[in-house]
Amino acid sequence: MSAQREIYVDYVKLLDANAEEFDKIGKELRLKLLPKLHEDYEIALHEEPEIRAGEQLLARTLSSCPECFRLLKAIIFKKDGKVWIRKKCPEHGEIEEVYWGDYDLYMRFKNWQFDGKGVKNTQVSLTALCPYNCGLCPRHKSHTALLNLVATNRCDLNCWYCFFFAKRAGYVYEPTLEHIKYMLREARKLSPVPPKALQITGGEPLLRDDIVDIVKLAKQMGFVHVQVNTTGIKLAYNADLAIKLRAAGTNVIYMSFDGVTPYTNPKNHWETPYILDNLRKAHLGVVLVPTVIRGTNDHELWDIIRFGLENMDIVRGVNFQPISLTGRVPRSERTKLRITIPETLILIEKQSNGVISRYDWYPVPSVAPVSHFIEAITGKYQLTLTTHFACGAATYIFKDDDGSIIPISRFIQVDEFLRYTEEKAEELEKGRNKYLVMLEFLIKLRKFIDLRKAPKSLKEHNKIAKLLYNIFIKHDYHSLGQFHYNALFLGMMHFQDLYNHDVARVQRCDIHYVTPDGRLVPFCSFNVIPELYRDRTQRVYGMSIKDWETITKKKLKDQKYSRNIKKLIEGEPYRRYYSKFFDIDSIPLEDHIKASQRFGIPVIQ
Amino acid sequence: MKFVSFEVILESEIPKRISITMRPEVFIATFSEKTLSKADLHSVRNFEESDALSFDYKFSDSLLISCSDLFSGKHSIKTIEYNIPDDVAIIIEIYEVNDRISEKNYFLVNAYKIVDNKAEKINAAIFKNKKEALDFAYKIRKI
Repeated sequence: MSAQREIYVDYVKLLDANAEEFDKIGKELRLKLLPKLHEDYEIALHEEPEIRAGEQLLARTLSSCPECFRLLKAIIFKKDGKVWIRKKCPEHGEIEEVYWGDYDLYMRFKNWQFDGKGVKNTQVSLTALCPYNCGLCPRHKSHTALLNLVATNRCDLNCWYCFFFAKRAGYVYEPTLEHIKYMLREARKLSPVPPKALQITGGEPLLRDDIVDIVKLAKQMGFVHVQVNTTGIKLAYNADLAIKLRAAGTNVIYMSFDGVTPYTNPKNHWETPYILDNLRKAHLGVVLVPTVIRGTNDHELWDIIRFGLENMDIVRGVNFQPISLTGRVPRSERTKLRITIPETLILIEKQSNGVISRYDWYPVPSVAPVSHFIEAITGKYQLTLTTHFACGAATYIFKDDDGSIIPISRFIQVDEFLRYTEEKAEELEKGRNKYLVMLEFLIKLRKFIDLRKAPKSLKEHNKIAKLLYNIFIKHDYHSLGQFHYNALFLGMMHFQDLYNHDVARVQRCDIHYVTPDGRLVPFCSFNVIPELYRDRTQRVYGMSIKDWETITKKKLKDQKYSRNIKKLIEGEPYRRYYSKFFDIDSIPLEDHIKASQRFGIPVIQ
Repeated sequence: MKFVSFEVILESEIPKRISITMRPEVFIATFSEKTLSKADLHSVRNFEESDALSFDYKFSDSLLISCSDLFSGKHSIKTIEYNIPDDVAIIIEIYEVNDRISEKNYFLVNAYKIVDNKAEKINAAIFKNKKEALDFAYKIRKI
């Protein structure tokens, strides 16, 4: 592993610098900060791992060694009903990992691959092979659907597994507003489709005193959708902050929520009722984000969805994230913790008694035909979700007036509808008369909808057909709001780690981080090889903890959160939110305290 | 100096169906004579690891095909080396591309200028037929 090269920025001197100065420094540093062959990684593409008796080869790809980052050939194969990835490092031997826990779902999802058109004005020239040339480089196949901005690496928690926050990193990374302006400006330059959705993340972004100003700045710079990724703990105690964030233009809070009990969600279980109450007052929606870990919270997947359904007035969606095993994890530990998208879908099917089936879910790129169609009609580039089919899944569920839950695929023939849409988009691209195609499309549209099975809210006055007409023919996206009425978005995104790493997925990634030098780095390079991307850039643009404390007249350790569990449990909201999910009185206070402390969050007793 | 091109047959299923053949022709124009002439073939050899970045340089910006796609599928690839005399100013590489998925044949033109004894790409464009590709190449040579 390489030593950190001597690149240094005196950030204290840049606190008053303007965006143009950051632009100059960023352009000087970009090439220097890129990973270097022989220094940071090696390449060994001469050997393909062998396929063995009883295995069936499905695909080939490239991947990195989890120990030395050497770029290797890898094979993806079927064994025992699952899909696996295998690679062989000349130095560290063979590495084999579950890639997708169900072969049949893998084969179903693979039919929905649509590649993007890439980025015209890439930010780095080709100097290395993928994934050591991020980003974005001319190989990248997708444009940015969601841009991530790390607002700080400070955090008020001490989660046992996290090495990202300032105290453990040994520096504070916190770009100034002018620096953020530069970073967002660089991102918005992307052509042909500049990013419109921004996630402000951390660390804990709500620790920044100017978080509301960051949201305002993002809105001014053209980001239509702004979400803040947080534990929400600050919002439990500060209703005013929720109101200010909403007023500044925050569209949604993207909140960690790993389960409905103190054992499964020690991060923010006790604060969640108060957070949701305050968000409700602010009319600020929330997406619940459970990290799914085998044996830890995978038995509560349906309960998490039910929790979302119970609070549908404020919960916009649930976005499950099967665990990404970053760092070095022994095989036995990986087997214990690892869960993949199809296994999560199957568990939801079992836990919901088939209310949501595994077949109600679709891979992310399945919606690309909708963008293709609108692009062909309007002649304007559209945001198109073209990730790798194995990266994520999504569906919508509706709560009918009688309380029953109806997944979208029960009343819309999703497969047939999307295939037909793609077919029509292709006809348009080949030059067919667009009015004829639109007419055909309109006539056919009703045939994909079974109104008898649709929720009442969409059935009345044929609302759903009108809605689709508005979207496809009139391009009126405001009407989408009606679609979300009584609907809950369910998503799933499995970020990679170095054990299941697949370069084909990296090249199609559409969730990117903007780095302080102005590059856009795919999520699965930024966080999967943090030494070469996230940590490298943030360390260079960071300042010492001592400098930060001197400048801000604050102490980093004073920012740490200690929870008063007794007070939180005794509050009325706690019982109101959780009494439907477990017997609140059956858990003694000591068990609550232990759950919090075991996770790394101290308790005021 | 030497200049490399690639003759490629690539068949891939996952993640994306690719079935493509690419065959190059390489032309040069000197500083003094602004006509295009065919480059002098030096050798044809097996594709090596060290060729991978050149492969990406040729095809990623225009066709969005890179080594990752190459290694994702079954492929047959030859590295073709050409001799480039010292007085050459421009190299034009024309690939005849046969895409069996879209059932289209087209021509990719990559244009390079020589900077510090290296070929630096200055343009890449796709044309429906060879005449259009050659017309473009003739325009480029005047630069």
